[in-house]
Amino acid sequence: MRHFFKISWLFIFSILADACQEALPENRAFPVIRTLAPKDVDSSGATFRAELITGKKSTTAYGFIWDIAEPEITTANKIELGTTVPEAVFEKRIESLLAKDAEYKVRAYATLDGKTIYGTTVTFKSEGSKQSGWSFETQLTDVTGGFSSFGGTDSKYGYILYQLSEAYKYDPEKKTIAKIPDLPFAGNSGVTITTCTHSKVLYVFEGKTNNLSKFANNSWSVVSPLPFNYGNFGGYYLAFSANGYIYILSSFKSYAYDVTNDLWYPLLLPNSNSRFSTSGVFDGANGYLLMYNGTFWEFSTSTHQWTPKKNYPGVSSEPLVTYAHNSMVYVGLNRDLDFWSYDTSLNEWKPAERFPSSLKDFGIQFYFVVKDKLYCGVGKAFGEFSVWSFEPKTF
Amino acid sequence: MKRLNVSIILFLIIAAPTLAQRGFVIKSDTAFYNSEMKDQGAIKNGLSCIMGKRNDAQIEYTPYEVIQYGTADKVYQAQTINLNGKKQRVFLERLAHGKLSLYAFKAKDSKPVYFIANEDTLALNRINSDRNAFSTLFNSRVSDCGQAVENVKYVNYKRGSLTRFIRDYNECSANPLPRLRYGFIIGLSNTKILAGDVGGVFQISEFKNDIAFTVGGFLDKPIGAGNFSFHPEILWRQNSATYQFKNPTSDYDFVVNNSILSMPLLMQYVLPGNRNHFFLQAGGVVAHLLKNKNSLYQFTSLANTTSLEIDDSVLVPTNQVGLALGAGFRADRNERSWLMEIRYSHMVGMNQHNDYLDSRGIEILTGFAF
Repeated sequence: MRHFFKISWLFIFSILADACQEALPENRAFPVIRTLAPKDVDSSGATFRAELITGKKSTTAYGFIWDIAEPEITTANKIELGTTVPEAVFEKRIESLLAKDAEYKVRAYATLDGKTIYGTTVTFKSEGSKQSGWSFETQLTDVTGGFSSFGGTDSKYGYILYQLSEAYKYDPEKKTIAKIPDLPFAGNSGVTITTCTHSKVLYVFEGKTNNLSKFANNSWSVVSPLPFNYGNFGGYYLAFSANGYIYILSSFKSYAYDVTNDLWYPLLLPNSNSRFSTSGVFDGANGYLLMYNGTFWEFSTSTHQWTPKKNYPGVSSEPLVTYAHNSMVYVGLNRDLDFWSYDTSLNEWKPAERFPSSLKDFGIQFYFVVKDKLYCGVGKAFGEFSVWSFEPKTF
Repeated sequence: MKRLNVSIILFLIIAAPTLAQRGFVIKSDTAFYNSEMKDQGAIKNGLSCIMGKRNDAQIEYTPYEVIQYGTADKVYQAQTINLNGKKQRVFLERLAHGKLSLYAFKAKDSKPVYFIANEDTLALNRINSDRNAFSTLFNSRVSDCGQAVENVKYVNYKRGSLTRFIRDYNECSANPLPRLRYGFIIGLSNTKILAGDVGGVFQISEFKNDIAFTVGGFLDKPIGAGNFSFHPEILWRQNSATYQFKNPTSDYDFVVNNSILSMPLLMQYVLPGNRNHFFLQAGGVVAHLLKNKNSLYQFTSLANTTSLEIDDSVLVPTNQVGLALGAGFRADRNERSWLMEIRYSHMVGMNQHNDYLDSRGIEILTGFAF
């Protein structure tokens, strides 16, 4: 009888133990992975985590992907951790490609038999990362205008100028936008606008009235008629101020304008054999022009001579975002996330940190540099922009 | 007016039997059945007997004139008892009659007192309210019936308990006396989730049954000395199940891991029997999910990718109420009882929202009571 009771209790406890086993999803021919909320999220990065719930473990690769939008294996930031998904929780500290104040979606992934298996998606707000210079600034709405927009700065504010004349002023400190008086011309979709800063005043070259204008004391005024037909050119102009001159450089025409004496001086053109210039940047000492064919030219503000430099490694058929910081020049983006850095002292191109958000829908609609920081406006919908900033980190 | 007439009729139907019943009177020399006996209540019935139709001239008898009176249901016996140090002739209400008879008397502003009398001697013995005292008395009187001797342990100084005890003794019933019991139960519950008003993917699902192990404890408190008892329980069970279903775009796994503490508050009715009884019980159930972890896994496959979404929101209500109906068999022995029951329950969420899944279940339970 005693044995009977012992066996009965053992039976009961075994049933109880079995009952306490947690149910899981059905076992599948692929790993079922739950992405867990990232931990240790701080300004140095975040630790991504996931756990294998059930399913086949013999994968060919696994890791994490993350993006501002729903991350896809082909477009998102990715880190591969190995081949076989481990049984327990797996995690990885990420200290790059996480922009400050950006809301990311992260999910674990695994590949097997040529298929990608995504884990669940977890959203979190990044506080930045050690190696990322990108930050999310703000979301702008009701910034409407005709046709394409162009960026500019007076070294304190950023400006968004539309071909049809609408103009806005962005305050990087307050992260606010305000409408300012319309441009002194109403252009069409073919009008090219080029901006530069001289003596902390915004100057604008435009092909509609073929004038150089400026914005000061909250009003526009014509500074000088241009000495050439500005609009008769399908490429890009680079404008900057140095040594009391405003330079306007391109593969078509190049001039220096003596602001004090209102005099224009023609300059040599780069011998690029390219269709036209597509982008350019001034690093504080020299100007740089990127040509359609990828050739990259340095313009000396002291000798007014052009020197060919190492060709741009990316695609240069469209106008690109350009930015200079210390002795480095950055070129890239638009609809492509690739961003390249050019070391002016070493004449070397290297990949820079890619843009944190997808650009495939609208791309970067305007950009400007204020106080050594690059600001990019990414189109979200008509009149809506996400503003991102970039300032390279040293690490 | 019509409504008033109906009310009067209803009142007469309900109240008449208590106001006047057909009765009998036995005097020392005669015995007769009169038309009606007036029930004056427990106290006055012990002092006099009023016979006669309401509108007729009623006749009041004292215990000195009448030996016994009553109705088919209730009998009063004239006896001389010692009350507060004085001998007094009163009518005692006879609660049980047989080898042993049990009588009760209630004086004004006093608790009822009880007496027993042997069938042969008719000598009254007052039952002392002290347990030791009445146990000694009963042991000396019921020693010829083994079960009654056992029942002495459980009889209480209460009208119902004493009545049941004496009646059972007179029949030498094999049934243990109803008493407060407690015990444990184990069993299997077969639960089915009901989509109810929950929309979305749950509408397309046919939930399979989930069989889970149930353990718990109960109390069984008799109500009076009859066949009803209040039967509260505390039960625990763990439901762990995975339900699979699909729609044209996705496959779904609904994974449930719940730990449920439920408290059925049941009324039990035991059908008459000889130590072995069938019983019925019904009542309300309240339940709280100690663990309420359920996840809906959605697998969506496109050309070369399969993506997963998990909805961890609470889909099963954490607090539930419901009804339970059960029937079973109970084998009563002196020290313990064994029972087996099959029970149906239907549970819903306690809040007013419709976005929770209800459940119903069949439980097969067995247990021991002490």
